[in-house]
Amino acid sequence: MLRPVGGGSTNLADERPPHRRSGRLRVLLANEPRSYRESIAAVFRQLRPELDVEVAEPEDLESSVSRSPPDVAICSRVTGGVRDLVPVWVELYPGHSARSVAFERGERTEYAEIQLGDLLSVLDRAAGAA
Amino acid sequence: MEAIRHILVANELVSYRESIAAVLRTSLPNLEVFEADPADLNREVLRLWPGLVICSRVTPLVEEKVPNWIELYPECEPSSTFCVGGERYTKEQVDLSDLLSVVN
Repeated sequence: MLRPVGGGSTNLADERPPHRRSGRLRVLLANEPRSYRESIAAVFRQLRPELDVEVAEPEDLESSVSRSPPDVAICSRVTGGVRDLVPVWVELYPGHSARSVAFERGERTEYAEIQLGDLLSVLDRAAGAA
Repeated sequence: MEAIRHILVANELVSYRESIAAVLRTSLPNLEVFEADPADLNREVLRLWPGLVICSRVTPLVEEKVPNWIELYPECEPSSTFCVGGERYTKEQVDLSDLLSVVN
C-alpha cells in the first residue's frame, strides 16, 4: 500500500516527468520490517520536510516503481525495476546482514554498517543532483 | 504503571536504532532517550535504570530489572514480544505506533 505524503499542484504545461511535476524529490521506502520502515520515514519527514517521502510494502515495490518511479528508493532487496528506473537506491541490510549498498547515478558504495547520517547524505546528494 | 522517564534503545542495525531513537525523541520530548550497542545493553541498563528498553534480544537482566521492554524482531523474526507493566504479549508486524503506545 503506497502512502503519499506532501506533493504539489500539477502544471499541465510542465514537461517534467509526472513523478517530478511537484518539483520535490520523491523518496520511496520499502524496506522491512515495518516499524523500521515507518521510523526512517518519520525521521526523513521531520529532518527533510522538503522531500516527498512515501512508504510501500516490499512486495509492492516493483509495481510502485513501475507505476511512478521515485528519485530515490530504499529497500531491503533491490528489484529489476529499481535498477532500471530509479537513479538512486539503497539496498538496506539485505538478508538482515549489516552490509548495505548505495547506488547513486552509476556510482556504487558499500557500507559495512550504514548509519542514519549516511542515508540522509544520500538524500541530500540526490536533491542536489535533481 | 510507573511513569517512564528514560528509554534505552539498543536494537541491532545502527540506522534502525538511530531512527527509532530519533522518532522517540521527537514524539516524546519530555523523556530522555538513550542509544546503546546491543553488546552494551546490560551495562547501560545498570547505569541508566530505564523505564523502557527496546532491544533485539532481551537479557535476563532486562527481564529482571526493567519494568517495560520490547524485544523487537529477535533473530530477524517478524514477531516481537512486549512486556508492559509485567504483562507479556507477542505481536506480529509491529507498527511504529505500537512502540509509541507503550509509553503513551
